[in-house]
Amino acid sequence: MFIALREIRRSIGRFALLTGAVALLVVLLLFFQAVAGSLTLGLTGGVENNSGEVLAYSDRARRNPAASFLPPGTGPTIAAVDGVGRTSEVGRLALSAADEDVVVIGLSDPDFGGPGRLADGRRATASGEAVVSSSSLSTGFEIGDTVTAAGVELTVVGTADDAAFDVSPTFYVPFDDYAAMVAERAGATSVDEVAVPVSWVAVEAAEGVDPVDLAATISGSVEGVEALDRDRAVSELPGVGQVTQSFNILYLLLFIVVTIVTGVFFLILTVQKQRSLVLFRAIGAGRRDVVAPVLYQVLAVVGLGSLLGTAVAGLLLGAARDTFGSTLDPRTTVLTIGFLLVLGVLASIGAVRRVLAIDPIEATTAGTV
Amino acid sequence: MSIALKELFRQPRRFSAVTGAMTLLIVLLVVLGGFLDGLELSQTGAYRAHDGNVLVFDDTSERQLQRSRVPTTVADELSVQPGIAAVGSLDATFTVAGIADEAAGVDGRDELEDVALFGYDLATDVLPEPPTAGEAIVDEQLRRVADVEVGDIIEIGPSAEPVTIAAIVDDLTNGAPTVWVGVEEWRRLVALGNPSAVPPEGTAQILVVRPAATPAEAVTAVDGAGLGGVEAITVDEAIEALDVVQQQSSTFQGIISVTFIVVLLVVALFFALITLERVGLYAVFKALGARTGELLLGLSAQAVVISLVAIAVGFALSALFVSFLPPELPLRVEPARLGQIALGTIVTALLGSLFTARRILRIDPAEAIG
Repeated sequence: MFIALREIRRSIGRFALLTGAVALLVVLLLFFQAVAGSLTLGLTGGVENNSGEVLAYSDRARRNPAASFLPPGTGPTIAAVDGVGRTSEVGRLALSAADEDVVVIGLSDPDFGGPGRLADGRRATASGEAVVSSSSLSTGFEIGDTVTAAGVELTVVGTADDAAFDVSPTFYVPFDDYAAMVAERAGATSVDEVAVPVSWVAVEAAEGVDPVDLAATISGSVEGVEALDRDRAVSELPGVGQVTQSFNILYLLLFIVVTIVTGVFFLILTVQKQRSLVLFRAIGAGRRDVVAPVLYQVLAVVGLGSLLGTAVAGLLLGAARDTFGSTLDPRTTVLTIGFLLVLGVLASIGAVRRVLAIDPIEATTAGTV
Repeated sequence: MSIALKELFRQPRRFSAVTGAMTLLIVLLVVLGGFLDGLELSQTGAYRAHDGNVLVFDDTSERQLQRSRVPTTVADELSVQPGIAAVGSLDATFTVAGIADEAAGVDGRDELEDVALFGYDLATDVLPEPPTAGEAIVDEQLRRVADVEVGDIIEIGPSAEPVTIAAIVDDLTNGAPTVWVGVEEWRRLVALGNPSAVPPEGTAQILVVRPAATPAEAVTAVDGAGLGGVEAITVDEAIEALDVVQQQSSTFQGIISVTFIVVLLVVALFFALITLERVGLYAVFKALGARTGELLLGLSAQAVVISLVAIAVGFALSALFVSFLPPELPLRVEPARLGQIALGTIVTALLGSLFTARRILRIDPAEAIG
């Protein structure tokens, strides 16, 4: 330990460069993780935190809420299926409000089909009221804010966390307000002039009924409908797989780069001080005495680099909160640093093997020392 | 410099470690650049199909197609302005296309694809004249993912309206593979499944203006027409205005810049170690009359050669790596991006190799004799 730290102090420039490189790679890694988390939650939150246990889409929607439009009369048909406890017809509309792209979700039952839990306030029960779930990547709305969407003035009466659709601020409103917005968008003077589409039906299973089984029953018994239990509906959302896969590729590359850079550095360092290590061994130092400093140094460099990287990533994400809406997740951060330390130790295997291969007898060979 | 290069060629193993690390960083850069280009290109195909034209938005829409609503009477007024050859509408919505299965009849239940459905009036360099009612033009991306050909029937939207593919054009992916129909047909198809997505009668989402001469003159002509409530911009300006493109571009550019800094640190670190090892040797060189500049030139030459090898191997590995990735990922490796990465890597490596300049400058030739 003493020798390891002394060497770092004497060659501070070299170790600082490596620590800096590791820190920057950690910044990238944590930044990707935070943004990926926000993006995924922005895509899935509306379904993941929905009070509906089963979502019944059009069978032509490819399990995509944005593409689902159910034939008229489908809601009551689903409500009559055995095992269905409660239903709410849901309409989805993407439009522009308050200078942002927003999603409006109309609920035929104001108490069901929206976010399972509210963070603050109450449900929207009367015309002109809305519960809002802000996207992590957009402006937040608060109780009392008013927004005009497609000619309908909405007052925020409740907020929900992580219940957005399409990474956009999402307003949960009574179905009549949604219908009025549809009519306005279609240029109609009244709701009666347009066929207001129902996008999907949120379903609660009756007591003792398994939502997975109920979804299969609904799909099998109602024509034109594909019902999914909530977990499956989340995993089938379009874009989620792509986002996850894309970021996984970047994580993989970054972990490999950290490992290789650390490994290469310590290998070169070991080769350079081989003569000193031979002498060290010749005067009685054990294998442990020469290997331990390498491991201490790896842990110090990767550990310090990780801490610095975490601090910088935290500051960056804090400064860019309006853009990315992401923060570091403590659990993910700790796991990542732990994994990097393990990778750092694995990366030093080359250097350690080199140290272990040192034969003290070389000290007696001309030109070695 | 020749000694430095000879060392490089005679002792390649000494440099293999840093070359390996740089190669991996180049793979990372190529993948990051691929995502940046892939995300941007896959969101903007419909805009690029109108390159050379001018787009007219509602001036409150912040240049966002989905927010814009422009009265078609504006098109009539613009079409008689000097500098404007033709004006047409452009409308868009996202929906699904079912691929008719011959065995199952026109059903398509299991062969659905998300598509962006466009209604248009004007032919462009990429798009032919709008097809007649009941026909559609699809892009190369839909042909690839759905395995369709000219003459096949696809079923559009929730109501599964059948249309026949009249032509296949280049990849115009715009968030999804694209399907192009005439404006009236677009309104009919969209109204059947989702009437709320159809702009009111006499309204288009945006107008496309074909310039008589240059886009700049057409923009001036629209501005000079004195029509309130509209804004004419070029296709490039429309692409730059897309929120998603702005955010992705700035984020990935930042990440790529940080990765170049990592390359800089890795190269600097390597040459710091190499220089440390060669202090005695450099002292001898200096004692023999070599100047500091010559020694630095040698290091720089080594850095450039290492970079070139890392670039070649990195690009080859990237091609291999990308070929194993799922095709649905938005990743496109563009030659221009590869050129930027190659140039950036060489410049960064050169800078990194010069980090040791101060150390070399301080070497005293007297050290050569102890």
